[in-house]
Amino acid sequence: MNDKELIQKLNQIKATSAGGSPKKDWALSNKEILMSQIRPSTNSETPTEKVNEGVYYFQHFNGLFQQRVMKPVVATFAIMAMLLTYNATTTIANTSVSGDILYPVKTAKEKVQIAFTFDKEDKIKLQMTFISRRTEELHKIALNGSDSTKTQDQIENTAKKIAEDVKTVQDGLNKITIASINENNDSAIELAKEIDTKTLEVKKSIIAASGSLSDDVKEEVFEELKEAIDTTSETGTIALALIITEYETGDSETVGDEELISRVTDRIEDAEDDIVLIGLAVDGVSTTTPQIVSPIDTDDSSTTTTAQTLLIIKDKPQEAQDIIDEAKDLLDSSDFSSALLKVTESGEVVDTAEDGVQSINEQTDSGQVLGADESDNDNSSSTVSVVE
Amino acid sequence: MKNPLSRTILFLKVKNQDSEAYGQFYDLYVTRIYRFVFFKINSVSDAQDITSDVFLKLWQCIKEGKEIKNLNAFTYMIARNAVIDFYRQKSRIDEPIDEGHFNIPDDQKDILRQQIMDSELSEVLKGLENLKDEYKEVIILKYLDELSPSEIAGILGKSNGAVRVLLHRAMKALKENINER
Repeated sequence: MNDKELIQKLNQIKATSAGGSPKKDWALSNKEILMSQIRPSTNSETPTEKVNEGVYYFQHFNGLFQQRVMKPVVATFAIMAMLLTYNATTTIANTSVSGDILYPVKTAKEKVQIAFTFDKEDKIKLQMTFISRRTEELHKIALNGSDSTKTQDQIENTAKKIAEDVKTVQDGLNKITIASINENNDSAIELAKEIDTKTLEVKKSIIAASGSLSDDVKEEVFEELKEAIDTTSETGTIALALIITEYETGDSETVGDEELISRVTDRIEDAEDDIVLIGLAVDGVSTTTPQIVSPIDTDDSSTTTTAQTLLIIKDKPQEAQDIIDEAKDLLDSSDFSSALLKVTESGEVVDTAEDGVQSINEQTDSGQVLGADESDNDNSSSTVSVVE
Repeated sequence: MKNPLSRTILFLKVKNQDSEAYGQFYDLYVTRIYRFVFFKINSVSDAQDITSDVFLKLWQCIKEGKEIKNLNAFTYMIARNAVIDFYRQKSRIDEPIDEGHFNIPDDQKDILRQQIMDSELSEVLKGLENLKDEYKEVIILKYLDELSPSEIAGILGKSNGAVRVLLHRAMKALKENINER
């Protein structure tokens, strides 16, 4: 006997007296007794008001409405409320910067977006978008920062994040570059173009943001900002190198002469901007350092180093400019790869000069502290008088 | 009363203490409750007394304004508790009754034999007789009284899943009982 047959037999049992059916006469007499018991109790107490049958139908359909219509409606409203709250939170979070309460929401959302983007190129594009956001945040912090300690922390964190993200883009670009060379991937070239353009924008943006910072904060976050700028610049150079390689090997029709000239020109101009800035910085330390000390007049090893450093860096801006001029000549002769190499070379010279300026500034600062102690915290003392 | 809407309206009337409606409710449930009780205590007279008490208690609960979400399940719960009370009282007076064994009383057996012409039906009934009380209970509720697993769960105080497992084991035990014969 299978389950179905067994269930059929069980159903048949209930139709028999063996299935436990009560005797009909007992059932009837019992009902009479029951009704006699319940009727008096109803009458002796509060008689139940006879309710119109329509009320019961209303109750029933109202219950159904509550269950089948209202519940989904309430659920829908609850979901909508959640979505609106989520949207409101993320909208507010979108305007937040490092150090704000909702900033973790913003970064978490970005991480989720990255995690759910499976295409390598799309992932890099998304990462670039987030880097642009970080630079916007950097601007916002630099403009609004009233508390220097907080601003310093915020700038440090944001600059570090930019450097990390740009490094991630660079790693992704390196992988794509290898794949592109093997597979003649046009989309990789398009991505490289986007990175080339974006990195220039990001670099300029970071430099502009740092211009809004107070000297104290700028000095404290120098390393983080420099790291962000260097990584961005390096990544842009890799991207442009990929574009040039594609052009010179002739594998891709997506890179034209004019476009390439324009891109290399942008890099040259960017390098020239760096040279102008470092030139100003070198001039700045040159005008103060000789007044501080002459290497002949003192035995102080630190000041001797300062003078030597100045000697090393003072011609660096011109050296960098000479290299850039060579780059321009190479560009005129359509030797794009050599022109880009010259831009990189010029960048290295600027880096050396930057390190020198930073070194001199640090040593000057250390002299200021000593001077402050000696002059009984007289902050009105100038940098020059400290060493004197 | 096959129409679910009519049944729902009747239940609403009962909950609203409508005695006339309660009379109709009695007609609808007296066989089920009697059968449920009868299969548990194996005595016609006791089953009749308990069934009478169940309907009276249910009315008292309604009059007291007790919250009754599911009138169907609530009625069975009263019946189940009444059977438990019956056994408690009986165990104080008589020797303990083996709840795990089900015997149809002698006066019923002859009638049964006459009525059950189908030998397979007889075998099923005997198999049911020898089942554990909780297996018997769940089979009666499900296949004789046609209650849903959620209603049975409400009566037995178990989860829907536990009821399904219990029912599966009960049916398996019943088949084994039948096949042994």
